[in-house]
Amino acid sequence: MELRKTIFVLVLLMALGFLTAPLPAAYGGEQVYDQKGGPVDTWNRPMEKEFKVGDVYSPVHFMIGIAVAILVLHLLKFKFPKVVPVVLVRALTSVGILLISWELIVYLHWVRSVLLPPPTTVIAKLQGHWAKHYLQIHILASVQRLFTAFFLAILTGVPLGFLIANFRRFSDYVDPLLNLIRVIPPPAWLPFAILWFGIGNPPAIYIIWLGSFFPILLNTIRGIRNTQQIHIESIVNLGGKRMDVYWRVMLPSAFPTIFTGIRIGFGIGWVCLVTAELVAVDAGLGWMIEDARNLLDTPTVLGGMVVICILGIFFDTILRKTEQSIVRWQ
Amino acid sequence: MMRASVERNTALQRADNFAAGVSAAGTKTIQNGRHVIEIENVSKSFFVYSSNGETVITEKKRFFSRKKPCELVALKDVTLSIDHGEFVSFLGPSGCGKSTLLRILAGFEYPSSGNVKCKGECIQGPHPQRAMVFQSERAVFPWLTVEGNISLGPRLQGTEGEVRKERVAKTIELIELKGFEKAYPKTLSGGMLQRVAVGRAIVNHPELLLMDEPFGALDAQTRNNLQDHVIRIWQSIDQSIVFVTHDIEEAAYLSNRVIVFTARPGRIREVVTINLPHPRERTSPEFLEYRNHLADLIRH
Repeated sequence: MELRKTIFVLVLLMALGFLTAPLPAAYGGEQVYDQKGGPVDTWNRPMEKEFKVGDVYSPVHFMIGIAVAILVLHLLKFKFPKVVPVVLVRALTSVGILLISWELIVYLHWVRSVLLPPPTTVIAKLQGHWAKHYLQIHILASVQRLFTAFFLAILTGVPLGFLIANFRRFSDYVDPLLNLIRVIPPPAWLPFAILWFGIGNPPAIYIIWLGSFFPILLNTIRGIRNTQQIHIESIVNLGGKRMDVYWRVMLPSAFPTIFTGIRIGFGIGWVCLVTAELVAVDAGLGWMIEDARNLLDTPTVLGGMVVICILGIFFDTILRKTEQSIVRWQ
Repeated sequence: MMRASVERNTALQRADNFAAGVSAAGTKTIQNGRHVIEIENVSKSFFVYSSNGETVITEKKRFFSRKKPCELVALKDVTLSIDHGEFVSFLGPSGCGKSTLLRILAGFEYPSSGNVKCKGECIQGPHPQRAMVFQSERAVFPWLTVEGNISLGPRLQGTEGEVRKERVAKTIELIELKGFEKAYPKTLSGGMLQRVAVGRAIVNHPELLLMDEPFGALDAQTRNNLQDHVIRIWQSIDQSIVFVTHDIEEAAYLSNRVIVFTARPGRIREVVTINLPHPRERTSPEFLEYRNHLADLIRH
C-alpha cells in the first residue's frame, strides 16, 4: 500500500513537472536579428562546417573496439556465469554485430555514406548536437508534449471507460460515436487540428492524445467489464456500498488491464508524436528529422531516429517496472 | 428471567472464547426456540427459454419471446427455521436448489413467493450480519494480502485503529494462518484460501455464517482438516452456521441437523437430527448408521 502511494505521488509530480515546466528557449545560441527586426535563423543549426564529420572516430577503431567488447563480454560470461546476465550478453552481441556490419558496408564503399550514414558519423553528429544544446531542446520539447497528451489521455480515457463499462444507457449513446471516431487514423486529423487549434503545441497534443486515448479507453472498458461477479458479491456481502464496489473491487481488479492499455497507448502516442511534429510545430525530434531531411543532413535524420528509439525503450521500461511493482499480486 | 440469564451467559462465553481463540469442547449451547432464520413457504422459479439448443435463464417472464418458454421450479414450499447456535446442513442431489436457498438467505436473490425472515425482519438484500463463504476460493480478493482481505470487513463497517487490528489478529490466529499476514493469495494453497474466506466472513461476528460447498474443490485430506477447523470455529464463535453440501459424510460429520432435499423441484424430504457429540468418530457405528440413513434418503 505504501509503495502504491509513493508511485502515485511520483507520477503525479512528474505530470505536474512536465505540465508546468517553462518552455525552453527555442534556440541554442544567440538569436540573430536582421535589420527589420524579425528572427532570421532562430535555430542556429550546427552546420557541417562547424565540426568535421568522420575525423572524430576512426571506423576501423570503432569496428575493432566493438568486436573486442563482444569478445570480452563472452569471456566474462564464460568465466562468471552467475554474475553476468547471459541474455543481456547475447542481446548486446547481436546489436554489436549489426553495428559492425553497418559500419563495414559503408567503409567498403558498397553503399554511399549519404544514403546510409555509418554509426561513427551518427555518433559524432549527435555529440555535436548535444554539445550545442541543440538535441536537448528537441528532446525536452517532444517529451513534454508527449507527456502532456499522455496524461490527458489517461485522465479522460480511464473515467470515460469506467462510465461506459458501468452504465448501460450511457454506453449505448456514447459507444457508437467513439467507434466512429476510433477508426480514423489520428494523423488524418492534422489539417483540422491545425485549423482549430492553430500553429504550435495544441494540434500536436491533440493528435497524440487521440492516438493514446483509444487503447486506454478500450482496455479500461474491458478490464472493468471483466470484474468477477463473485468479487462484487463478496464485497456487498461484507457490507460494501456502491462506491466500495467501484473503488475497492472494480478498479484494483481492472488495474492490470488498464495498465496494459496505458502502455499500448504510450507506444501509439510516441508514433503519433513524430507524425504530428512533422508539421505545425517548431521544435521536437520529429521536427528535427524533418528539418535535417530538408538539408539532406542524413546523419542527423538517423541520429534523431536513434534518439527516438532509445527514449522509447527507456520510457517503456519505466512503465513496465512501475506496473510490475504495483501489480505484485499477479 | 431464565432466557435473560442464558443470553448473558452465552454473551460472556462468546467473548471469552473469542478472546482465547481456541475451542472449548462442549461449551456450545444451542438455544432451541430462538429462531435466527424463519423460512415460510418459500418457492423460487426461473423462466427458461430455449430454441435450437440455445437456452436463456431469466428471473423475469418474457412476454414477447419467440423461444419456447417453460418454467423451472428450483424450490417449492420450503418451510424451515434455524435456531441460534445451530449447525445446519443442506444436503441434496446437484441442481436441487440448495444453493439457491442459501443465496436467498444471503440476500443475493429473492424468493418468488413466501417469506424469509432474519430475526423477525424480512431479508432486504445482503447484510454483513449474514456472512457468506463462497464455493470457489477465487472469491478471496487477489489484490489484497491475507491481512487486507480479513480487515476489509471491519474497515467497511467503520471499525478503526487498534480495535480493528486486534480483531484481525485474533481472526488470523483462529484460522491458524499466523505468519502469512503479508502473503498475497496467489502464494497460498486452495485450503489456505478457503480459510482466509472463512476468516473474512467471521471477523465481523456475523449472526449467521452461510457456507456454499466451501470444500467441494479440495482434496480429501485437506477437506477433513478443514472440517475439523470449521467445527472448532463454530464452537468458539457461538453462532449459527448453514452449510450447503452434496457430500453425505461431510453433512453427517459436521451438523446438528441435516435438511435433505429432493431432486428438482427442491422440497424438504426429511430433517435428520444428529445427536452425536463433537468431535465425531467417522468409523463409529452410530455415525455409520446416520450416514447410511442419509444415503438412503438421497438415493430414493
